[in-house]
Amino acid sequence: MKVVSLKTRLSCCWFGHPYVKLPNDTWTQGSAHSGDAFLYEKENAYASAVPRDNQSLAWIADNQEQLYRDYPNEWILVSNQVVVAHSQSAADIETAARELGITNALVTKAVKPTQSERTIYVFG
Amino acid sequence: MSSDKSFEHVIDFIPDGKLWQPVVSVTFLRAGALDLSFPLLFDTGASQICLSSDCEEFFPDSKLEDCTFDGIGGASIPGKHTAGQIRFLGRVIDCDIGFAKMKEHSWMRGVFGRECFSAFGFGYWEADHRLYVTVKP
Repeated sequence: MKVVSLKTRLSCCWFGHPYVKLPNDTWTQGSAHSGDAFLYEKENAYASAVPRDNQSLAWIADNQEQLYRDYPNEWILVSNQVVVAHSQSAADIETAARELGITNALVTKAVKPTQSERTIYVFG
Repeated sequence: MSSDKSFEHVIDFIPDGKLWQPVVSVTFLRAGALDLSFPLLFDTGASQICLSSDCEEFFPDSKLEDCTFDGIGGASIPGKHTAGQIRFLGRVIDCDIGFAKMKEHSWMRGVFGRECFSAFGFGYWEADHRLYVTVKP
């Protein structure tokens, strides 16, 4: 098991617009940044009034090629768009989540990206 | 059944090359173990939750029973299943959890199927790449 900190190693951008956390614990999409200071756009009223909890999922999709290069076929533990642990063992991933104090850990496996344009059935 | 179709949650689809995928984070509650979330494809064609078979590793204390899953074109896929519990948008739901070999993507470890849908109302906007959800259907 390896616990890693990759806050700068992988892109935190989704189509070039980084997501930044606001003081009220909501996320918004930035329009530009300078150093660590992000400038962000105010989201429309409806979107900002509801939870937007898919940012780590989008980050995984956006970085799937890099994730496969760094952790081929390994389980990865993702928190706030950062890989915090990786291992080939599910038990190790659970141990890492517990030791890091991560509740509700997001887990997936870094597999070789494939592009399907016509999918009607996911078994295979 | 309410005629009010307002929604409290918006879930953005995620980008996958040229496509957008409706993927949700679903938390699996396991007795005596840490809660874990897996990314699941929102799939109205699936009758229940089904995880990729390698996710069985995360359920070592569950009693898994052999079963088959029916698919498009008459395909019959061998798999396993167990009784489980999930949490989605604050709702805890008892449900059957399947395991089967699936096409693999880093952005999904299974499918979120209809058995768990009754606690919610969904609005699916393909053009907007968004899934709207209410927990008060």
